[in-house]
Amino acid sequence: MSRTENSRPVSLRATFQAVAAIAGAGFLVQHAVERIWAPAQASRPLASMLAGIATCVLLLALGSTRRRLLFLSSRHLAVATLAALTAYGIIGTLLLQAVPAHEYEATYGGAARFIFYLLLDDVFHSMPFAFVTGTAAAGLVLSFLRSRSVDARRLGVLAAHAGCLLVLAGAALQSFGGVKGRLEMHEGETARSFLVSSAGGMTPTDLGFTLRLDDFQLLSYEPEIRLRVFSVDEAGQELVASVDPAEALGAPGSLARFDVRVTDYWPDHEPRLHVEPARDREEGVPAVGLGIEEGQSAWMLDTGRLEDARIRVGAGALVTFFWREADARAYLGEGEGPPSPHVVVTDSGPLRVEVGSSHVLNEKGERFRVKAFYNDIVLDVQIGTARNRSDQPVNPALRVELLGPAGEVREASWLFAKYPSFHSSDPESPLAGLRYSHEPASGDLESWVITGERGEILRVGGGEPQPLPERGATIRLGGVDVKVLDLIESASVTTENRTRSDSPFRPVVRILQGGAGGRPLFLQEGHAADLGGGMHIVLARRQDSDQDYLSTVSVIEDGRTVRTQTIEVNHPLRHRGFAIYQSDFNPRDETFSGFQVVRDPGLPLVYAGFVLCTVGVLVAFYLGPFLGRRRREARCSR
Amino acid sequence: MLSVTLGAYCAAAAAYALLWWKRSARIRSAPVAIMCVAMALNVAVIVGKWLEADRPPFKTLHESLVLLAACIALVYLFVEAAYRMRVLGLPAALASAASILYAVARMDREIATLPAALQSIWFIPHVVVYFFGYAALVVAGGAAAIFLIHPGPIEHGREHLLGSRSVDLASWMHGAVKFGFVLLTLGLFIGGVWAKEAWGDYWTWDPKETWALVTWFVYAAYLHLSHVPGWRGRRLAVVVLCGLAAVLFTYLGVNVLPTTESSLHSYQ
Repeated sequence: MSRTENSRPVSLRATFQAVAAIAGAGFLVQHAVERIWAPAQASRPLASMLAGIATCVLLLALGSTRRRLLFLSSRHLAVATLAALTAYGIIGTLLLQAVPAHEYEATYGGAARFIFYLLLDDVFHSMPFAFVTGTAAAGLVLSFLRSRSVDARRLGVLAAHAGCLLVLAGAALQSFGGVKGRLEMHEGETARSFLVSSAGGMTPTDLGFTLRLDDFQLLSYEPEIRLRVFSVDEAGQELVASVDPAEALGAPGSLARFDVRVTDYWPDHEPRLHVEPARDREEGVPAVGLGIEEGQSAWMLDTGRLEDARIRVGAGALVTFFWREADARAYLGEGEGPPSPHVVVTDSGPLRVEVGSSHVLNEKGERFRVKAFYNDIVLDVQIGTARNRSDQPVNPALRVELLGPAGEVREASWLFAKYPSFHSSDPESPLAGLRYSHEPASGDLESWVITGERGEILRVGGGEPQPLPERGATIRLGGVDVKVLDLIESASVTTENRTRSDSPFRPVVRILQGGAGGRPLFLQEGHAADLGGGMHIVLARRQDSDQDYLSTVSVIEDGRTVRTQTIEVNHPLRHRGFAIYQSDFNPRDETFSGFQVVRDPGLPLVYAGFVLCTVGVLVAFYLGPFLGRRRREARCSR
Repeated sequence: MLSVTLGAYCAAAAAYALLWWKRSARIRSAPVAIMCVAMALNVAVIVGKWLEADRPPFKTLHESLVLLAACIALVYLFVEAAYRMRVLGLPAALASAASILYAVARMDREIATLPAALQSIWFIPHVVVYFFGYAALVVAGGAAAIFLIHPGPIEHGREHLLGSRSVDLASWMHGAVKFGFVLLTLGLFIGGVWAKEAWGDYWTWDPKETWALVTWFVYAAYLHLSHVPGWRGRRLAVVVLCGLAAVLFTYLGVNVLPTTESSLHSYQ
């Protein structure tokens, strides 16, 4: 076909104006229709599809004269409709689409009105878009009537056009004859229908057979223990390095640039303490040894760190040890009623604090105040806001303030129970030394305190103190008998670390920062340490996305199981015109499975369109010109 | 290994630049040799990542950038081997180097696992076809840029760059766009079939899908315009560069869109 039109073509500019007028007509029609009948969101795709088909049919009727046929099938019109569809595509990704009205108002403020007026809130189901698509479809159809002679290249072009038309026809058929809905089941349940969203709400639709969910399996990747380094600044946090601690034992890898070396790794850590009276009383620490079960013992040390001073016994009862009664009283807190769940560890020991209370911070007499508490904090460092993601203590945090002599707030910082080394204040700040332990008071969870100085046991939350039994005698804590093995005011302690197994049940890593004479650090899972320079190292358990979801279902017809198949993502079940796709699961209910049920009579047309379009462009670009060259060469040689 | 690959691509770019500047036929085989080494290193990086991750390394932005660099180099080397034309060597080597440089900046700290939807037989063909298509369109974009700087046939003492006495870059650009368009078409349709198998919908107006269609529309408009009288040379080169901008936005820019939160397949 020649590259020029047979008669004088409409200019490209005029063609663009014509397409803009068609889109404008769509705009007016939609506003006019919606004045009479406001379709529900669910009806919009169907309405826009009807509008597109009507536009296409109308333009095909207009193409009955040669001049109009040449215009409607021209490359100018193709370019103009492609440009308009491109513009709609871009707008449809720049603006939120088909979300509730309040979301537009929250996002765009006063401009939301214009978005609704210009019909840009659901671009791809609007009539302007449908009118332009209908125009493009009419141009594709009329391109078949345009050519009087057809060579191989032109045949390819027409095949590509036909492919595009088949895809549009398949989509139209799906809109009119297709069904899409949801089916939710639990293991053992059967269903004969699924729910389809429509203008009137959710409508049950018959499957024509019974489906039974026999089994549902959620497959997860093996969790992995990682030693991660984060760069933390005001803009947020970024993962800058991550190693497998077992592999890092031999070679530091990416940790080398932080001057960090992994010296030991225990996947299932079990420390064994060797405790004996210290030769030099000044160098020892108070210790109490308890026999928990037959052959099992544990030592609690009053080192100033809560994790050294406590153990769990029986059904999770917490036992904490202090030598000095004053320290125990500070930990227990004051007042009647249930104790506060917030324990802040200062230089002088643990303190039970409440939101709003203020306390002495250090020996210099500086004070801090507890400003706020979050159960499950989500922090936006950039804009300085915090919110609770849930009411469960998933990520407990305290907001604390450093107070000046007159009670004025000098600075503030966050303390995170799960990330004791993370804090938002300057490392030199007095607040940087604070650590936070979240200990929710619960009727089912006992918490006890042993004081060595007075030889007493106190229950957190009230009750009279009991005398600590003699060595070898037992006391009932947390529903089990606990034997007091020893109580030493000044003990010398050596620790032997070992691993019970190679499985990462209780991973602990020892790292060394700053070469051979550097600072050794022990990290348990979830614990972090400040490496300086805004870098923090964390021992974390990596749990990636779920590997797969498998629903084994049976299809029952006339009381008989006619087939059993496992549905998973990428492997739907197809039966009697329906395709059933794995689409949902509930991590808290592993017997639940959600499916998308689809009947799509247009799918064969769409797939045929895909094939035809691809073959068409190949023929138009390569096979057609190749055959043309061969024909010319043959003609020349003759 | 990645840094060495980056160095090799930079060296190839320098060698191609020297070929432009020196006009000497004696050094004409050096750039292609360096480019081949860089491409071999790049392929070795991909194979290494594949073995390490035990899955095709096309999941993350970092992995896809490494793949893109290799695809650009392969497409260019095919052009050079088939037509002895070295004009596009400099932009191709620079594009591969830029892709690797960005990959280094977006290095994966941990090996990502494949979510259920990506465990499909369509994963490899969809990604590979698209990335070869992108590579062809990057090469076409390079030709368009050179054409805008140096319109008209390149000749007169540059046979060592051309492999013949004269090369019409506009026609090369057109050829590369056609090749890229075929692959975009195939990739788009494979994506549709895959989406249908995975989620039950071959099209959902997801931002990535929509931008893939926008890119296809831009090149479809180019192909129609190339037959419209008056649309030649510089004007078409500008359309090709618009298409390249659409490709880059589809690949890298979609993540900044407000609608991407709901996207099922943006590179992170």
